[in-house]
Amino acid sequence: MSARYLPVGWNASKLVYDGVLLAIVASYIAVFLWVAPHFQHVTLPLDAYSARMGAFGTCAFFLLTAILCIGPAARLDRRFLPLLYNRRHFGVLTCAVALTHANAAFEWYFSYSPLDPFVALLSGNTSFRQISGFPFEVFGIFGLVVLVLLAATSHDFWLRFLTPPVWKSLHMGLYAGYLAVVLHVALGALQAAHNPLLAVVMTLCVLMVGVLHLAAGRRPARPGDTIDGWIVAGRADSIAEGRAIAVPVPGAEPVAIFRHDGKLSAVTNLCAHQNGPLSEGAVIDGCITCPWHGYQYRLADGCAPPPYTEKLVTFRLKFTDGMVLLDPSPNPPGTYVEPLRVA
Amino acid sequence: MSAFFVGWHLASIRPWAGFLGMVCGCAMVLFAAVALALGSVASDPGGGDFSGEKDLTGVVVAAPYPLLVLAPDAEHPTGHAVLLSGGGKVGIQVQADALNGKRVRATGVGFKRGTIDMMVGVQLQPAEGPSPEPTVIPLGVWRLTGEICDGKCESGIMRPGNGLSHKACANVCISGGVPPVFVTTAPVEGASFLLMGDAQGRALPDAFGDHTGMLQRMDGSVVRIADVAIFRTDVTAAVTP
Ligand code: FES
Repeated sequence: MSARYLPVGWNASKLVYDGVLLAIVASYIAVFLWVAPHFQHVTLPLDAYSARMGAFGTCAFFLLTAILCIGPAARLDRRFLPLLYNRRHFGVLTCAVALTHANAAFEWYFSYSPLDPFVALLSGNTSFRQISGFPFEVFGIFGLVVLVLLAATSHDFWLRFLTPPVWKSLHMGLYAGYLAVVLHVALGALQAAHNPLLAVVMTLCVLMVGVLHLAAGRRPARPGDTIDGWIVAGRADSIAEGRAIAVPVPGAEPVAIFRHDGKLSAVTNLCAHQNGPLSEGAVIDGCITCPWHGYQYRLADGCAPPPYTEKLVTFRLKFTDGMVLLDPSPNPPGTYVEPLRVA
Repeated sequence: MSAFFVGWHLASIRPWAGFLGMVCGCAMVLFAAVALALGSVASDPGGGDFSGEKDLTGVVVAAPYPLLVLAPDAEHPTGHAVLLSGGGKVGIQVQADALNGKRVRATGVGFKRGTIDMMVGVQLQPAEGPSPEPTVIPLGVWRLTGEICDGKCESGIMRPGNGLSHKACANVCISGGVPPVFVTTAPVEGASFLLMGDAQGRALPDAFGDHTGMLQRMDGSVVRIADVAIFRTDVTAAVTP
């Protein structure tokens, strides 16, 4: 939770997370650069820059694929949620790996000429009207710009400055970046490869991202019936103690209805941090706790406990014929609403 | 209440620790296995390599791109021609034009791949001695299929120094004056690497860039100077076979 900004708010989870991530990346690069060449069938080895381009480029692609899979995987199976917790560090590391790939290509292919290297980069290949030989570098540049932009704005300062909805839309740009990277590889390295393995692995990755998103995107819930403008949310006993349900609201974000100590409270489903799905969270120490990074809010007024300052919009609830009804018009953030006691 | 992970409380991960340990372990093994598989199927970049510091004396031919023609010897009964280039992605056309047809001493660094003998970082100095005009032997009209590469990367400065991922670099090199070579799919009179020029035997026109780095088919005449074949063609008429 944010009361002040630190470069990184380290804690034990983040250290473990980053340690595992670095170990995975380091082993990938080490195996690619120093072990795999012993198994190559080549007249002479690849030069160091070309080998580095391959190692860091493919690594960045796989990391990006993993980042995009974590979200839907966590929705399908809550045990993946801890992988989502520190996804920003994952993104920053992926950006660093991609920059290493780009730097090797830039130094090797576009330096040492009478042209400025950036001019050489943009003018080296202008065959825009053909598929084979298309300047795949432009897709790589776009993907890299997206990664750098997202890494640069990943800090909570930017989140607060841009507001969570804008920040989140910006960070959805990762999908455009991923598409650009796929095109970059498909029109570049795949065209030059004599072995289909990279094409096969890439296709599997793209399929995995697509299938996971489709599976996680299946939303069985449809807005319920309304009675005098109130939405029928269901029976109180359908909500487990300490947990919540998400109630769809036509034309708006869902509302999370929590049950704690035999009382019900309703707040927006969007966490004030990064719009995480609060209904997938839990009540801990008497507070709604977001599943993504653990931001907490009081049940009755949606306010983060002091010294934190985040506030959620709250909603009114009532019982009719044993059913919980939700008033879909939101109260201003932080408005106190007396929790509804379950009969 | 069932397990719930809170990021700032590492101990809350305990119920899921086994599952997460397995996921991380699998990810580590999968990443390493993919690195091993992808790293070991690298396309063969060929055998172009550094061939030593060079200090040679011969006659300069400036067109289509600078060549140094050496006198015949036991190994090269028809004489030997070396392609010349500057340091970096730049040619030595100005130096070569000034000394065209003259005897020079050329110093630089050698790279060799198959029949391409390339000298880079070349400095030319006028030299004393005979400067016989190199004979141009016509080898007829050919329809050839192959790839346009820059002679420098292809000769082993880069491995790989060809293909579509290297296309932009080849374009930067060739437009900087590095001699382009046509790497044929089948040898022409024993040569798989032909120096390129336009149909009149001059440097390639600027529009070569759409045709580099991939298989192209083109028609033209082939001539030989010493042991180097030169493909004179209208590169803009090249087609994808
Ligand atoms: S989105 Fe980060 S704590 Fe809720």
